[in-house]
Amino acid sequence: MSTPLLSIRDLHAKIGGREVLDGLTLEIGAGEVHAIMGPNGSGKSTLAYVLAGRPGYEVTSGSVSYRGQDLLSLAPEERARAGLFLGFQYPVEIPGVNNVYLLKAALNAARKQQGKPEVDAFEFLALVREKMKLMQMDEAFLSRGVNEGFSGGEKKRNEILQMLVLEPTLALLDETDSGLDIDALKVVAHGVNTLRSAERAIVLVTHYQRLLDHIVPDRVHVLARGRIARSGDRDLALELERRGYDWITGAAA
Amino acid sequence: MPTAAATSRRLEQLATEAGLAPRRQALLKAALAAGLPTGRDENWRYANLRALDRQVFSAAAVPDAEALQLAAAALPAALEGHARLVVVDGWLSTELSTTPLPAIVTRLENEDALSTTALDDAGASPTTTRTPATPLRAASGAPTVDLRFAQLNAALAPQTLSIDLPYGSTAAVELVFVATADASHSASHPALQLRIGDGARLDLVERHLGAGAAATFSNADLRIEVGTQARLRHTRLQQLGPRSKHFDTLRLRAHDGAECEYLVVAAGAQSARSTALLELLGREASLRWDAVSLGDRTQINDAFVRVEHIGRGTRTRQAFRGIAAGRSRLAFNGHMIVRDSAVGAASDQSLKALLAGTEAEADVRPQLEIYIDEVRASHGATVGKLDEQMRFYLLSRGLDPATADALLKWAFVEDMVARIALPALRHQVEDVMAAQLHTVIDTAELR
Repeated sequence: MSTPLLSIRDLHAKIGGREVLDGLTLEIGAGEVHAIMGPNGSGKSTLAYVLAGRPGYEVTSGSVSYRGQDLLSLAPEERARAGLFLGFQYPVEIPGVNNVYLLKAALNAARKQQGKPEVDAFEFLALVREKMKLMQMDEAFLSRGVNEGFSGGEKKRNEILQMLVLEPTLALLDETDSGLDIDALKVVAHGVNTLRSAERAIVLVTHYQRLLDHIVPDRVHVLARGRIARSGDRDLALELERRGYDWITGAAA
Repeated sequence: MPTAAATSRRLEQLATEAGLAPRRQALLKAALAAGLPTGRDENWRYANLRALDRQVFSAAAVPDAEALQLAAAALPAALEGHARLVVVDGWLSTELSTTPLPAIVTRLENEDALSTTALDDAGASPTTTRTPATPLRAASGAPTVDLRFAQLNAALAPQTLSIDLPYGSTAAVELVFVATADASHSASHPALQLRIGDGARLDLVERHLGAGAAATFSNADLRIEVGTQARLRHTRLQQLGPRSKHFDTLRLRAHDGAECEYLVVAAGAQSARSTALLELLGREASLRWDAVSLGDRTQINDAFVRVEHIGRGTRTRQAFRGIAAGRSRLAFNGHMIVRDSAVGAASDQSLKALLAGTEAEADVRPQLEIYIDEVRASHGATVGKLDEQMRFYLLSRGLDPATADALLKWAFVEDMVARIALPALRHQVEDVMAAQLHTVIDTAELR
């Protein structure tokens, strides 16, 4: 059996002194799409932040191996350059830094890591235009401040646009579906689906099953009280839709 | 020895010096009798009054060829469409200014001018020998101590530059004050009086530059009258050298429907104190005051801006963005007054400072003094560090911490200068800010 792309073992993490992850173990192979579901407060977003290296999230024990590397020893920017991408639940607005600048700086940071030269300005614009078309975004967005004055849906599209430009090896999408109407959800899902490939993995953190109608996962995990309470295939998500979380979270107690 | 006492003694000595005309001696004595500001004065708490220690106040002599050469080398590229007036050590230089001088410009020499040296270019430009017009009165109720530096200027300035825009006319002027004289010998006291006639429009760029490596001392005084329905766009750039000390006083009065737009960028000098006393006298007169202050090393930059709403429906929008790096100290004190006559006035203040050095200090202070009910006033003031959420967002995209920090600092101040309509000026201002921030990013790419 090949080494999984991401291997999380017995992970414990605290935020503000409160234990939020309590012995989480999970393996994700290349080419797979996993959905992590669970009720509010079960630790879904914490997991995404811990993997991305957000300050203030303290790992107290356990390990995370990413492409054979100790992920937790890397700084956030090193994780990003190594191909990890976090799609934020609430993308932050940064007035004064325009979208095109950030996209280019992010792409060049990754290219530098791979020993490639800076992207050619012409090729870069062509690439961004192509991805924007896919996300049905207006080109005027490029010259605006990062997420500045964007609606909730526009912010989420912008996250996926960044992901498509950066082509990460492991994408963690934190509640990318929240706040989207059905049309926007389809656009976002289409964007994510175009990224599916044998060498990368996608982790969808979501509260609802409706996203999974559009991005069909290989595995579904239910998180409860900071650990995986149950894993299954897509049918598990459908069962959660019918029965709610109580029957699992109750059993995990 | 108390600073103020020692300074006053030196000024008293100056007041009795031979060569200082009796009228100026009287002005100086009156200012001294009233007393220089001290740290105990409400509006001077954050000013670096130690800058006055051992300071020589005597006005610098007419700049010689060497000084003019230094000044010429310090001048930035000329701005398209702007007449340029260059004042070196308080003296208008016709060599470095636009020739011929625009008709709206007059140089006022006092009969009792400090220096009896022949003027460099006597007769080459319109000059008069009348004494400067009576200064604008102090804004009603302003502590007169806030005018002390203006009084010193009145007593010591060798010339007053006067700009008078006739009714309905339009002009663009770049005013460059260059300080070259060494502070251990003399000081620079530039003075400007500006009248913008009814319905006239003026774009004014005011720079304070250092030339050469000299430690300089300057004390500038500006008096501005903005006529009915007139418009003033005033960009002030303080980019003096790292050993300079600087004080300036701006008094402005706006009449009915006048629009005044300010952008003030302070990036230079070892120590600077800027005092602005602004009167919105006429109905519907409006003021926008955007200020950026960037401190580094051990720089001290203090600004006091007093806005007095007197006319009905007068409006002010004030924003301050300061970044204190190194061991610098920044202060911005925005005092808004709404008199009982200013029915329907509106005032909005947003003052923010960023601490970018572990030993840096910043004080932002909004003060509201309102005498009526029918007014809209809002204010916010914060001093903090870079936003952690924004920072993490940038890091999560692979940007290194130095780049992320530089971007966030840039973003913090950039929207203040983004409004500059003239691209060449905007780029000059951005270059000054980028240099002061030692930014690692290519700010041209952010335009």
